[in-house]
Amino acid sequence: MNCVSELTLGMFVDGEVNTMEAESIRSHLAGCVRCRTLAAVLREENRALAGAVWELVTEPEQWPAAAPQRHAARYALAAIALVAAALAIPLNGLSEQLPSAVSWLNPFSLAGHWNITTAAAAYLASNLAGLVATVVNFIGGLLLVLTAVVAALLYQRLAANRRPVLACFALLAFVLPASAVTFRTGQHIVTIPKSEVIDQVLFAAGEHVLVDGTVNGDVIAFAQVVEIRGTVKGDLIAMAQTTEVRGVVEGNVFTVAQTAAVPGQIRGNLYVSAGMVRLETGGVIGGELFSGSGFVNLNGTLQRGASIYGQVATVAGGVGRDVTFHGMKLILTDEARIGGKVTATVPDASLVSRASAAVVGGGVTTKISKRESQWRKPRHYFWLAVELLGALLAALVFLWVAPALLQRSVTALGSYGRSLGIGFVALIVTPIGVLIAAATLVGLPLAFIAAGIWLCAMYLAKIVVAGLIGQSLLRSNLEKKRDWLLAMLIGLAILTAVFQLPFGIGTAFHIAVMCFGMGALFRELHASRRPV
Amino acid sequence: MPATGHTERGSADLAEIYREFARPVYGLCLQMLGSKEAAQDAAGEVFARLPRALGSYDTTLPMANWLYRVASNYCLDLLRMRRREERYLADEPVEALPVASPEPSPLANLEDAEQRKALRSAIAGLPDKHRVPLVLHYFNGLDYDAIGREMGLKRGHVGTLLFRARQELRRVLSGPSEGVKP
Repeated sequence: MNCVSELTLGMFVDGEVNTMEAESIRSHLAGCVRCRTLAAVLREENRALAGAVWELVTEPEQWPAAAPQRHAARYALAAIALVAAALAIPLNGLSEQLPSAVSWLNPFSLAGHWNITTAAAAYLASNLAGLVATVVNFIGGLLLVLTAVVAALLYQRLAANRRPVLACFALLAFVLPASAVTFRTGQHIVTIPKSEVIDQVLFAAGEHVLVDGTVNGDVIAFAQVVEIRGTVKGDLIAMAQTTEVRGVVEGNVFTVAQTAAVPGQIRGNLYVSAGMVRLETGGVIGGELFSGSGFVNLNGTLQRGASIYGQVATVAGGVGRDVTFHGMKLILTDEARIGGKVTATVPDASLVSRASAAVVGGGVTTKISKRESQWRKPRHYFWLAVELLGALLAALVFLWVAPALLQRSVTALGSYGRSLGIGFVALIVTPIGVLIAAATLVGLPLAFIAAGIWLCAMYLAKIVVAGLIGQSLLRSNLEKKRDWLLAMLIGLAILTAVFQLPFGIGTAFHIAVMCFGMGALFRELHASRRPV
Repeated sequence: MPATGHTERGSADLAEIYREFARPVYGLCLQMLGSKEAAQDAAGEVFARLPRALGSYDTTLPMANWLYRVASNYCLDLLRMRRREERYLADEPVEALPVASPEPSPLANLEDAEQRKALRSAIAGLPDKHRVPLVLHYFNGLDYDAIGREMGLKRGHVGTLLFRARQELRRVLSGPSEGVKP
């Protein structure tokens, strides 16, 4: 027999030749030193290769260091959830027993919400003003340039179908007028002096924004103190620790602040969320007041009506029309002159105090905001059913439009640590991104699109998680759409029930479900764009 | 229900399995797929599918072998999808192969850690078509027939691929002086 090829010898060494062939190779090896040596080398190589492959697999060099971190993150998440639950359960249970003086500290009460919101807003306004200004300037310019470059590139590449690009251009043209904005930013005080007239929209950010002159457009301001002494012909949109209108705002005022004071004039409506709202003596609001605030004092004149949600409201001035109040305490002083009727929803009838000289044209109606268990109301069940049906319909549409995405997202949920992480980030980061993009005005369409996707994803997240729950309960691969629907129905029913759990547990579940589902969705959306 | 035993121990078992095998399963996926990202995703997917896959687990076999097989099968599915157009798994003509000389092989004499590391990186650097059968053979312990079935190849072709992989490794390890590609 001639010497065997290395290939054949390799197969022989691996035991991959048939018995007859093996026999003849064996007899050849007995007489051929060269082939015998080669066979020995091949065996040696096999051992080395097996060892090396084993090491490669079991000790991968690029093993993500994330593994231990993932555990850490999981423990951290668990700890946060535990602390939150520990806080939530007693606080929520106690919320009705807390003395009202400290109830503003309770994060589950309306007052607490406002307090947290306004404190956060004030913090943002005082600390982020400079940053926001820089970011806005930078991103605004960058977005404009980027959009133009991308559109130009796309226009070149898409010789066949340029319609979408033209649409983009149209969008850009639509957006461009918005860039007729005057930016005024500074570290400390940003002043529009008395002599100055600005015909455009004014965007101002700084520690103290003072408008002493005239702005013919809107004013958008982020600052610790936003003070209008001059005239704003458009609307005022302010996020600040203190918003003060001493001059005149001819449009509406939208403000989030710790304190909002109106010693001057607002010709339109005032929409306010603040710790404290003061319509001071001599101050006038020509339109309506919509307030979700801790304390509201109306000493001036409100020409139309007021809708007040909050802790305590004091009316010591004129209100042209109705006053609707939901909160803890409503005080009508001797100076109160109310043209319409007063409807107060308070925990106890004694919490509406009406001074003897107070004038109320339409009388005072007091409703007791006793918390009746929602489970006793049939309406609650009806809305639950509607919610379930809506989610099921959405699931049906989802299944019909993007079955693969839904199915893969459901599977991807299994690696839950990652989904949770991504989802959490998406849940938090997207709104921040949207706010920044919206603040640049040029990025407004982008912000709308992102916000839309975000809202959709929040809703779909529930469906994805419901799919997983249903799937694991049915223990099947859900090949048919009918199986999927059944799984969805089961999952959604369970989730709807779980979200109703009291003491904040249901809410906590809801947030977790949103994180999980959103994470899986975004992961799969991202993955579906990769070739694998 | 036959699988009750597993399902009851279910979640505890799964965590245990994950702790023990997450790393090698990732490593296996890395060697099969050749990219860190794809391997992370694939390993995640393997564990995500595990609860259901456990139903088909034969308890008489070691868990490791079964799990590695599940992982490599999943990676092969991915490779098939990825390379459907490229037809890399299709047969290529088997040339007449030279009779080798029984020189000392650079693969067989790995004396120090440095050399072993060099071999490992040489394997990691092989093209998919050589690295995948190598992993299936030396790690999963599959014979040529099984590899052929998994990769959709004739057994002879599997032998050729393994042979070429070995030659390529020798070429890489014997250094640049002899590194003339045929």
